Order: sequence, then C-alpha cells, then structure tokens
Amino acid sequence: MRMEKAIIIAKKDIAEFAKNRYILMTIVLLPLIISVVLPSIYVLPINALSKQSTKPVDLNLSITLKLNNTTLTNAVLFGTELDHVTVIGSVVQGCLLRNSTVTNSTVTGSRIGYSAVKTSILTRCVLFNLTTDSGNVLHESQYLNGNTDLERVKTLMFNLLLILLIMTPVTIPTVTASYSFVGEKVNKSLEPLLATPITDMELLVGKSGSIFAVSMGATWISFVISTVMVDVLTGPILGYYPLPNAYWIIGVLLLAPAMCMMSILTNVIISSRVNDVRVSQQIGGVVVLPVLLFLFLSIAGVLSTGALPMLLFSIVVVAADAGILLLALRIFNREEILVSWK
Amino acid sequence: MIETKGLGRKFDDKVAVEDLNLRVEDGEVFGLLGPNGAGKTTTIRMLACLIKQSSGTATVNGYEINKEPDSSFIRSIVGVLPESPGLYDSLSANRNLEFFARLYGVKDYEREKRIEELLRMLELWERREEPVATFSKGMKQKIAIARAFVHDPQVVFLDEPTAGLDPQASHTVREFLLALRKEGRTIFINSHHLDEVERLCDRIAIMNTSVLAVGSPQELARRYWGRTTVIELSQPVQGFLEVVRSLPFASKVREEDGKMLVDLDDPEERNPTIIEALSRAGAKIEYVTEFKRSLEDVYMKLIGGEVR
Repeated sequence: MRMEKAIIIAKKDIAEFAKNRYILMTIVLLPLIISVVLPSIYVLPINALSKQSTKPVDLNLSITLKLNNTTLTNAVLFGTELDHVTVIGSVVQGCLLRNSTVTNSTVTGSRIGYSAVKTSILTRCVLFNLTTDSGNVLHESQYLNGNTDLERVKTLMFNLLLILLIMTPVTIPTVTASYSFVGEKVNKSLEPLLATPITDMELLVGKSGSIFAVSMGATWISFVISTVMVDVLTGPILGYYPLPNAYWIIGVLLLAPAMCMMSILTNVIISSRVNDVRVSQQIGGVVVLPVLLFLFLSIAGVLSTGALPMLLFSIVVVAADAGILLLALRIFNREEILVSWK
Repeated sequence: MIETKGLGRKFDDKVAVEDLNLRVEDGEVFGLLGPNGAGKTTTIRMLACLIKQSSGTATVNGYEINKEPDSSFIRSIVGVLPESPGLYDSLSANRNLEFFARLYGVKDYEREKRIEELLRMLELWERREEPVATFSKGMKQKIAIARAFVHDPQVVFLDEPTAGLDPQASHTVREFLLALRKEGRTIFINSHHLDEVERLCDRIAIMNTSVLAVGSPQELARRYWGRTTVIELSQPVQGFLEVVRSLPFASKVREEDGKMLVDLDDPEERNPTIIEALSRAGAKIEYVTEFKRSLEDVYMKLIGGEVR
C-alpha cells in the first residue's frame, strides 16, 4: 500500500470537511460541550460532597478499657479501645475502634479506623481508612481519608465523564463518515476516484484516515481540556489532582481510538446500503450502544470502576473492530461500489 | 490500441454486454452508439478496469483488463469521464484537478502547467479558484472532461461528453476534443449525439448488448443504404426516367420531390455516363449531387426505429 496516495485522499477529505459548516460545528461544538461545559457542571456535586465531609472534629478520648477479639451485641461502651471486635446494635461513645466491624449501632465522639461500618449513626466521629462505609448516617463527622462511599462516588463520576468524552470519537465519525462515503456516493464522485490507479485499500485507508484524524484530534484536545478543567475545579477542594488516572489513560489511548474505528467502519458498511447522509448518520448512531452499555453497567455497579474492566472492554472493542474491518473490506471494492451499492 | 475478444458482462441473469469484439487503433477517435441499456457504460467500465467482465477478454495498449498488475497500468494510462461529472462541489476547479493529478502521480512542475493548459482550452481559467458548486452544469462537465485529461492519458473513455450542454458549451468541448485528437491519443466516446459522433469519430460501433455494425459513418451509410445520385433538371424529370433506366448499371431510378434519384454502386464512375445520356436526350441539368444518408438513418435502421 502506498501511504502517499492515502494521504492525498485524506488531505482532500479534510479540505472538504473544513468547507462544510455542519461538520465544522460538530467537530467544534461537541468536544467543547463535553470538555468544558460538562466538567463545569459535573464537579459541583463532587465539591459539595467533599466540603460536607471535611468539617473538623475535635476529639478528646479518655481510654480506660481495652477489648480484643470479641463480639458485643446490644452493649453500651464508654472510653474503650476496641481491636478486632464485632459491635452489633450497641451504643458506643468516646471509644477508639480498630480493625473492627460496627453494624446497626450508634457511635458518638469516637475514632474509627481500618474498620467496616454499616447502617449506623455516626455523630462527631473521626473516620479514616474504612474498608466498608455503607448505609451510615453522619452528623458532624470527619473523614480523614479513605471514605469509601465518597471515593466511589468521585471515581464513578470521573469515569462517567470519560465515557461521555468517548462519545466524541464515536459521534464525530457518524457525521464525517456519512459525508465522506455516502456524500461521495450521492455526488457520484466515487467513480472517477475509482478510475485512478489507487487500490481499494489505499482509498479506504485514506478516507478512514481523514475521519480518524479529525475525530481523534478533537477527542484528544477535549481530553486535555477536560482534564485541566476537572483538576483546576476540584484540585483545591480535594487536595490532589484526580485526573488523569489509569482508567482515563486506557480510555483515551485505547478505547477512544477503537470506538472511533468501529464508528468509521460501521459507516462504511452502512454507506453501501443507504443514499441519504442523514439516514446514514441516524443508523450510524447505533455505534454508541456498546459505550452506553458499558456506562450503564458501571453505574449499576455490575462492572467495577477500576482500570481492568476498562482494559478488558477496550480489548473486546478492538476485537470487534477486526471483525467489522473484514466485513468492510469485503464491501469496499470497486466492483461492489459500482455495481451493488444502492 | 484497444482490442476486445468476446467480452461480456452479466448482472445476475441480465446480460448487459455479450460477445463484444472490437479493435480501436492507436490515435483513433472511436464512437460507441446504442440505446439506453445497450451496455455502453458497462463496456467503458470494463475497459477502464472499474468492473470485471463475466466472459471474454480485452487489452488496452497491450495490458490485459482486470488482471493484476495490468489493471493498475491501465488505470494509470487511461482517463475516464463518467456519466456524471462527480466533482467535489466545495472545492475549487483548480483543487479538484490538482487532487486527481496527484492521484495519477503527475509531477509538481507538470501539474500546474497541465491544469492551466486544460482550463484555458476549456475557457475556465479565470474561474479556477471558485468553488465548483457555483458553476453551471456545462462548466462542471468541462471540469470533469479536463479531469479525464489531467494526467495526459494515452487512452480516454468519455461517457456522453456533451450530455446536457448548451450548443456553445458543446462546441467548446468538441473543439477541445478535436484539438486533443491531433495529439494522437486514442479517444473512445459513448454518446447519444449522433451528429456529434459523426463529426468527431473516425469510426463508430452501433451496439445493443453486442456490436451490430462497425465502420466509419460514411461506410456504414453506404453499407446499409447504398449510394444514391440526385439529379435536378430544369424541366420535369418524368420524361427522362426511362433514359436512365435504359442504362445497365442503374438499378433503381425514381422521382422524388421533382428530382431524379438513381441508386449506384460507384457514382464516381457512373455519373458522367448518366449525365451524357441525359444531355443527349435533351435534358438540361441544373446540378448533380449525392444523396447523403445520415448516421441517424443507419442507427435507426439497425436499432429498429422508424427511418424518415
């Protein structure tokens, strides 16, 4: 394959995109909304949650008793150090809890670390490195770090933002590819192009390359903008800069290009069967479904919000791309285009 | 040179072209005539290696069609004007031609010169930087024709080069093709414009899925209609019809619109004898000419339409 021929085709397509107001608006506005407007709205609840949980609590514990490796049910505890203790349905006041489990209890003026706390009422407590933190009601309590619920919410929100960002390389090709393939077909400009001494592969690579370059260019620019936006808006409150993390890096460097290719190749296949740019765009929209599925599974907690599910999902998309590419190559040849494309 | 041997193409069960046998010499302008659906466009597409043939074979300048690497060579030495101009409307005329010149591998220093030469010949140089979308249909067709020649091809396939053009634009295109014909390249034209084909082409083929006749327009007229001498006298011709009928070589002598019409195998040799016989019989001859059958007459006779 002669790359110079593919580049000539790609440059021509990009020149055409630059003259098309609708494509320009899509390339500029969509990433702008996702990378600037969305993070601005998005970080507000994160900041609100973080502020709520950082009220300083001053504890003055006076420990008089130590309990280890026991289970306490319906107990009343004052000034006790609990290590490896299971507390159920009890009242705990002015205590220090470590490596313990607290369930259905009322805890006041205590310090709890490296423990699991569930469905309890926590008033004026200092909490750190909780392994489980669910269904609790907090009053004037302070998380030093490791608030698992809050951290999970933050992680989920940042990851959802990434998924929305990945809509950019999926959506832009539905517009650009529709014009590039269906537009040429409707305009009957494919025949003179196919009469030149280029190969089918050079033509496919050239046309796909222009769409890929434009879509991924917009995606990566919006990735940088949204990372900066999130860090600038949340950093001072969180005390650290949350992005980019491993999830984002895999998403932007692997999943986004893979989804972009899926969108382009799907549009090549769609182009062989439709004669209207807008119909092509609408059908091409089905490509967002895998991303939405991944998003819903993340929200529902079926998939964890860690880097591994993202990596596995990206690999699945790359494998799917390979299958779609084989199908697209069968459809995208001179004979098929001139004889069978309706 | 283009040579086809039993070339055919089917689309599912429908025969578009069958058993096509043609030979177009180097530097010849060859016209392909036929009704809609006769297989003209399919023929061009097969010869330009755009689609594959179902049967037979063909060569273009010695390269076999639809066989690698020959197909790539053929595409690099032929220019194609499809039925529709198929230009990039948002780009300028210059950018359209430049794009195709690059794809054909025209060198930088040749490209600009070639584009200027073509646009000047087609009277579009002044508008070279304007988007094609602002052009009339005729102007777009001219740009598409320029595109077919932008890489200085040895063989050019033109599908309806003047379709939908006004007389002035048609004239410009014809002049352009006549000028390029002098450069010795082979030009293969599909057209419905019989008059245009007659003026431009050295030879023509009339086809309806397969070739019905091949030859120069004059040859075809003679082959299918024979040759007829028209004689106008200053007196009524009825009295002189028998004079000519008495000559042994005059096969069919008749009167039409007050003129005498005589079918002859060889008018150049027989006309002086007829004139002499008429003069001897006292006829006063005003003029003697040949009744010319048009290409349309030949076409209609072969395709099955009504002939005037």
